[in-house]
Amino acid sequence: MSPGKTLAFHSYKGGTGKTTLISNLAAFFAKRGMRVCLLDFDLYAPSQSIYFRKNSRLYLNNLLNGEAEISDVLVDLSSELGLNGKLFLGFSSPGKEDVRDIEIKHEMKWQLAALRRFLSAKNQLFEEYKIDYLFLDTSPGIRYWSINTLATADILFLVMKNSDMDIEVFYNP
Amino acid sequence: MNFNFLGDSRFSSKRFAAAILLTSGTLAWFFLIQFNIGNLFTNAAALLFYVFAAVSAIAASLISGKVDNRIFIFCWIALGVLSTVLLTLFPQRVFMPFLSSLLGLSLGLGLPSTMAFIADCTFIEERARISGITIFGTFGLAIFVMITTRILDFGLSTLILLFALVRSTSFLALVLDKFDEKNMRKEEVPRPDYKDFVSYIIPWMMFIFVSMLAWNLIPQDQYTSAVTVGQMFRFICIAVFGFISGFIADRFGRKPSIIIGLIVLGVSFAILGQGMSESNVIVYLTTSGVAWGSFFAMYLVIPGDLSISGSREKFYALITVLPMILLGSVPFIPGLADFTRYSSSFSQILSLILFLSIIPVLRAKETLPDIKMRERRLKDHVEKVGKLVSKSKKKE
Repeated sequence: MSPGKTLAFHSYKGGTGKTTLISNLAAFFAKRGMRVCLLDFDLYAPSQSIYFRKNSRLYLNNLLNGEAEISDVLVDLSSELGLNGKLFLGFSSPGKEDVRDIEIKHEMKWQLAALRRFLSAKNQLFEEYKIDYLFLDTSPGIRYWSINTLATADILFLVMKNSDMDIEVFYNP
Repeated sequence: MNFNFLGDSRFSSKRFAAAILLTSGTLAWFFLIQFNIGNLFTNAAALLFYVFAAVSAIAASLISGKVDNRIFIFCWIALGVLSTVLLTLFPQRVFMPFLSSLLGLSLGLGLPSTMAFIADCTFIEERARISGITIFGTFGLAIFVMITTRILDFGLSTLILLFALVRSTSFLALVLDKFDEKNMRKEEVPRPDYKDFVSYIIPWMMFIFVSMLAWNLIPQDQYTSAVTVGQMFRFICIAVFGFISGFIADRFGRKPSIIIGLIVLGVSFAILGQGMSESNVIVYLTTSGVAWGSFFAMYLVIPGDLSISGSREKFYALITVLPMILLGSVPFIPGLADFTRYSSSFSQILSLILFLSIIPVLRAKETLPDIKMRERRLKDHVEKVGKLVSKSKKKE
């Protein structure tokens, strides 16, 4: 049993502040001395690389495609941000081709293979990187990769604005 | 109690059984009569059967909703059982025109309503599976009776009484369901879609027409045992592939099942065109069973998909009547016997006609909405992901 916890943040609609919340929480936990990893699973509209103004050579897309290991994807921001703990980030590719590619890749075979790769990477994060908290930023709505990401989480946070419309679509998507 | 076989269905088990029994009992009765004692009827008597079936189907579709459904269904089944029993009491040729008319009437009167009943109480995304199971039930029952009669070697009278018993299984439907308007599903298309219905009727007509012509190609006196064996295999294939087609059609849409059916029947004609032999006859009948299975299942679905409650009986009447007209009139086509002598080239022409009838299907609208297909794919995805993740958690 892995000691770390996986926390996924989801919203039915976009623009709820999910990315801001998850990024700050991850940084806060790392500042408190914990080992944290934040993965941007909003594969359809990546934003973490813009938020942290960072980039990486390889992305989560490469991991899912079996072209990279989790170690190739992670960017360590701990020293740069002066954190007591560790903050590893995994970005998804902001490239138009990659976003389009993930949009049309609905075949079950690929989806399951990609999910298996992610589950194996997740185990590696807990066992080798000794991660305490794995934060997963999901894409809004009911989409293949938001389902995949949510399924792997131990704790799920649903983020919504305090408006009737947001609450309504949450109950009746 | 809800029926879980369909996974996400809210179709009650009693209503499910009632819908299947009602249609299966009647269709199984029809196919058993057609293939086992069809030779009792002359061409003229057979024509009377189909004319009465067709006319009564049209008449019944026009008065649907104006009569008490339960009483109507009871009278319809009782007429079917009675007219079948009368065959044993009056086997003389002189009574045949009257009896075939009565049998035709007992088929056509309620068939559109019972088919519409399936559509009325199902959601569009589960309708093909229910239809597939109905076809499986129909031919499963027919196969069971056929095998029983072969083993026990019944005489004609017992055989006919057995068919009456098959028909009477539909009575059970009345015990299981009240057939009231309540709990019927009022949804689907905003208005009946006649244009697309015509596009779907063309291949259905071609399919029946071509199959009838091909049936006439086989010299049945010469290949009696091959036809008997082939017919058995054909029924098994119809049952199995009707069932499979239903599942395919609820997942990928109705059009692929129809196109597969047309292609398979085209291929089976090509096999028959290689030359008439016992093995070719058996292979043809078996392969064509695959095509019939998918067609039967799909044409139990499409009229329901394109119509709304109240107009459904008319759609189903058309689907039933047109083949009956063809079935009755094919033996009267002048010069058919001369033409079918050139079986090889004739089969190639039939194959070509079938391949061409794919065109209207391609042009027609898919009746299962894209959103329903996506929803199903997503549900499957969720289930598989759930299994994969829980398996991975167990490993941890």
